[in-house]
Amino acid sequence: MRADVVRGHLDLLLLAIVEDGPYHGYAILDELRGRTDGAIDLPEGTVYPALHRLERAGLLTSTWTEVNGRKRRTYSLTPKGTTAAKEKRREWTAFAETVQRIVGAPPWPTTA
Amino acid sequence: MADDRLIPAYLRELRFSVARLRDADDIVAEAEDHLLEVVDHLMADGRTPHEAEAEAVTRFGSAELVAKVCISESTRGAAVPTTKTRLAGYALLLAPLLTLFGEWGNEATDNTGGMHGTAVVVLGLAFPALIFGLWGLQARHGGLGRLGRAALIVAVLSPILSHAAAYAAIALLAVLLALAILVFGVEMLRASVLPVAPLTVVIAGPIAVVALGLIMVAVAFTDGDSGQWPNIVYLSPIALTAVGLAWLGWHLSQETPVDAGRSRRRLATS
Repeated sequence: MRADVVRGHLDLLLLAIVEDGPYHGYAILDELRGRTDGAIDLPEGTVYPALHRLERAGLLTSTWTEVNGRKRRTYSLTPKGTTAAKEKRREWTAFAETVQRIVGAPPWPTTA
Repeated sequence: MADDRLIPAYLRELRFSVARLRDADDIVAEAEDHLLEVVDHLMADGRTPHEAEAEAVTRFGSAELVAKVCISESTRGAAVPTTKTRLAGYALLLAPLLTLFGEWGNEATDNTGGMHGTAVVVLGLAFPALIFGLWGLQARHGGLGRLGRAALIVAVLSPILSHAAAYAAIALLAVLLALAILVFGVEMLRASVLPVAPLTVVIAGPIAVVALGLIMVAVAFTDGDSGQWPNIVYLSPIALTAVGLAWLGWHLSQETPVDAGRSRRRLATS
């Protein structure tokens, strides 16, 4: 799947994954790849800036811990993030249904 | 234990590339954790340390690309409705109404009296309402890039810039605002956040303003007098833009703000 197409919906994808969290960056990317059977495969380092932006916007919160001697940042959804995830999911469903009505419709005029 | 030659070199390059960002240390620490975790997984799958590091770095993306995304994302917000974008929606709805009422009052009264003064004040309020509305549209998209920022700056400065045109100041003001709104419309369409129908109307209006301007110039060069055309010819493109902006304003005002609960809590505790 083209990276620019995915990028337009990255916020929703990340919020939807972290909803089941908390997750650290690697786990989020693993979920993203796993749940889409690898169809979504962005350069991994480009997902972190989006997570930071969502945190700045107050939709995610993060905590640092130490794991195996390494600093690890774990993300969870804030109440504002939960509302945003719901709203974005609703927007996406409405958009997808609208597009499906066009691209999934039989050719006009129908013979049925 | 992984071969540590590739990853430290990569992290040094990344550190250098994101040095201007406030959270540069956090970006690098997070990248290090990610890269080392990928290496651990790949080595568990049987790769050599060098192969694992090379693949981890490749999958992460070049330091240049990651730094570029970090820098561009640092100026963006989340494209979500908030209480402020909702208020901006009301401002966008109000701006055309204030203009209409102000213009009507200004024309219908002589240059004195309370009614005239009220009309001028109302007309003056339409501009900040429009700017706040445009700002809200930008915020609703989590930013509209450099072009969007430039367009907002042009819109804010348009009353000052239009003074350069002396008697034609109002025409230059209309053109500058039309260009700013056009850029906003195109960038919003590209972002695919708000419905396409009002965005199309918002874009069509400024295009009509520019087209009308070009026609008027052409007519002037052929010794015609475009000043004799009925008012509806001049007002239609502006009305089209106003309808598009008000439509977007209506949409923004109807969205559920993600910070609604927080605002209510703030009110309750104040």
